[in-house]
Amino acid sequence: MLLLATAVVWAALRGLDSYQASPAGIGYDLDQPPVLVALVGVWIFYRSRRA
Amino acid sequence: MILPQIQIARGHWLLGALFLAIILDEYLPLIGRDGRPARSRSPLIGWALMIGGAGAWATVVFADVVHDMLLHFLWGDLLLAAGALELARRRGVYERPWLDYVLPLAILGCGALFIVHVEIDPEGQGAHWHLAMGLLLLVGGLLELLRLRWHRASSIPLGLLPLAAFALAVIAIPVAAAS
Repeated sequence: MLLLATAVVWAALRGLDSYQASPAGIGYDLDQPPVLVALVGVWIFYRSRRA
Repeated sequence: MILPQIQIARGHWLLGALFLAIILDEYLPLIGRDGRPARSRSPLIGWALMIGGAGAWATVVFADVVHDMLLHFLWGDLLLAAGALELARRRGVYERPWLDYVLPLAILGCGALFIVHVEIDPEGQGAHWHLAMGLLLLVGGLLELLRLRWHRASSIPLGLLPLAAFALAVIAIPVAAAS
């Protein structure tokens, strides 16, 4: 939850870029610091629910 | 072929996220269905280490500075070796007590290589970032080694703090400092 909150604040402060709707563009969309932190947060949350 | 700096930064962000996932999976307390603390056996972590190693090796192809090529090659070696051993442990095909030391030693080794990076190129762009990241890895690895040595059962390992700070520093590395 802390990671997800960090990602939201980070995204609000830094802003997110959006790229073309192509495989590379989707990769670039995801490969941005706040999005990566959010993805890790989601995975850790999922893992804690599964345990 | 030399990559533009934004692509180098993107590579660092991705590796930082992989590292964050690895240390949180390994060091965050996990409570099993029986209510007892359990150790994660997710094979994804072994894969993540090896993917990180392959990414570091890729830098050898794309880098234009010889010490960057050498150091990323050594980082890749360490990460691949640690990934292979972690994967074996998590699959349950190789169980040895010394496998507990693999991740802290790999972290220590990577930290030492950051310091070597700064020593070789103290005036280089991002030298301060590299120094900070190296120190965080060294502190995190040492704390984990000490925890293993003393068999201290703390709820959250102390090493998690500098290691998470390292991961966030790699994810946050500015485009201009990525090299």
